[in-house]
Amino acid sequence: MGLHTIRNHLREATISQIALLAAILGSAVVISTGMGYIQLPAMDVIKILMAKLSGQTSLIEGMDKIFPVVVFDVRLPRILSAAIVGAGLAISGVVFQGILLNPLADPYTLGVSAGAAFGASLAILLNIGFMGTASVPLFAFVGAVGTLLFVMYLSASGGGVSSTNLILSGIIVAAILSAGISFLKYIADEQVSVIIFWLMGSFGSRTWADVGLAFLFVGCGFLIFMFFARDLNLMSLGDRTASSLGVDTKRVTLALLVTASLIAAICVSVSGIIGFVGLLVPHMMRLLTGPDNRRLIPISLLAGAILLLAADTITRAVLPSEIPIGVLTALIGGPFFCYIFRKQQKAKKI
Amino acid sequence: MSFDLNSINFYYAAKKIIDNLTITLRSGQFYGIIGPNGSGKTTILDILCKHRQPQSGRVLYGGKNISEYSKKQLSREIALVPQNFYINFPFTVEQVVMMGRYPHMPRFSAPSAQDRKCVEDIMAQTEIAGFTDRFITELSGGERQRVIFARALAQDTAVLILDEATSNLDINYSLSLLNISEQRVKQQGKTVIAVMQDINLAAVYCDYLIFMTGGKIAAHGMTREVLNPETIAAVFGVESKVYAETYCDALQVVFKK
Repeated sequence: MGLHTIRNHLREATISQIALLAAILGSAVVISTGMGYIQLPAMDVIKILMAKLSGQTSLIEGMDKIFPVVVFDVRLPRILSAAIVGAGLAISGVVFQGILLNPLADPYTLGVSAGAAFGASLAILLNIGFMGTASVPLFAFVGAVGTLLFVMYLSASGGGVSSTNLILSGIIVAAILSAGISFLKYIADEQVSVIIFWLMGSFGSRTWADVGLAFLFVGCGFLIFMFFARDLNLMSLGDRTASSLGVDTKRVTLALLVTASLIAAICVSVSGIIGFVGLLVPHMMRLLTGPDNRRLIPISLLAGAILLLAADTITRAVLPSEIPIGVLTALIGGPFFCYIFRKQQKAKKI
Repeated sequence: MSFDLNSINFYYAAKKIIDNLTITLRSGQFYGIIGPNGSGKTTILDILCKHRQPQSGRVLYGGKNISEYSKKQLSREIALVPQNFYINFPFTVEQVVMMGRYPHMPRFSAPSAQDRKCVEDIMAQTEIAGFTDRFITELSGGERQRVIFARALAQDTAVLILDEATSNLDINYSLSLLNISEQRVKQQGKTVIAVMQDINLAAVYCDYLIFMTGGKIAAHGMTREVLNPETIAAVFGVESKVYAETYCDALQVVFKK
């Protein structure tokens, strides 16, 4: 019973967990803003932020003129997009897992990521530039949403969509799209390196427009998720039981599936493919806080933001040369996931 | 409140599952639904709790068409204990039972003292208080079934629907579950509608039996009137003897092998 008591005690401590994670996230933003080619002390970063927010330029008097520019035009957009994308991938992971009743589901499972990747590869290959720098993200977004609609169409039967059908359709469509991406790479010639680099994910040269867009989608998505969080708990008891407990299962499934896919799509279109965040974060947080989505969603939001921000800071400021963040998360997250998965399997055998 | 089903037809794809079925289920009674696999028993339960809509026919609950009730309103009237319950996420037993209170709680509020008391009482009554903090994913099939039954009781509804709720339970917990259900009917005037495989258990507890075959009602009425070798032969195609057993004060059936 000792382990149970500790675990259950952890589950109760949600408010302090949220406060703690929020504090960690805040400090992580400040510290990582100071890190990089030009080192800035944390106090200077805070002063610059305060000056910008309050309009009191006296705070930054005597500082190098380049510092505020580095903070505002270079680092903050990148840092905030990393944090927001991490948050978005994590909460969409929670919801995919909840709806599909499968603790191993994530945006990959439904082919959403593959759809986005295909759209982006196509845009890069055809060198489409009518929307300027927004073309690739736009194509990625259209690819993701299109894939979602097709997967839902494939898996729909008379009575609605079942989770097994969705996962199966998602895997089939993702396999087709992967072959499509390979084909695009094959015929791409000199563009192939651009495609490969985009597919591996990066937060380099993100702008405030990216931050705003991601924040809008992830923020609205978070509110929608929280509104349906209790219904999502009931849906883990199965469709029939949830329905008898007053949940309009078809409506809730549709609302959550579309929202989670839109968040995943916008995240992929901002940063490229970043694996394992949507899978790993909800999984780890569920061990910590339990499966109640009303706690799990906000906790995963913060943990996802911290994780991806930390990973991006490592590639940007710690490693001698920048490696794609998608590669880093998969290299660290993959084996770690294998470890906790194996540990859980062993625990089950008692 | 009573159910009135009028000329219900239900198809799944081209297959007719419920064939022009009409019946009235009065409140304050213990109903048992008996029939072979695929005779439409579970579908009828799903139609009663509006999980499925019949293609034609009317379902009235308390004289009002069931489509006029919102899901939320119905969840305060009708609770369901499903068969083959399966859950993938490690909720604690107490959390699962508390989910039965959700229909009575506003969306964003924490459980009230009254909700907590209700859950506590029901867990004691169903003898699961011992595993309050255990994870539902770690329980055996029978233990899980008792938790799900407790969850349905916590819903505190006028109608309790049991879909082969005792199929995973050994005999002492089967009896305990049915005793609690019967108590609710006798003392609180609630309605129980139970799909059951075990005809002898059904004969002990049910005031009324409904025999179904091929989506139709083969026979229905008071247990002592409809439970006879002719009905059993017509529905299951087996030979049997029905006799009055004083030990359990009910009709019992034995089958010829």
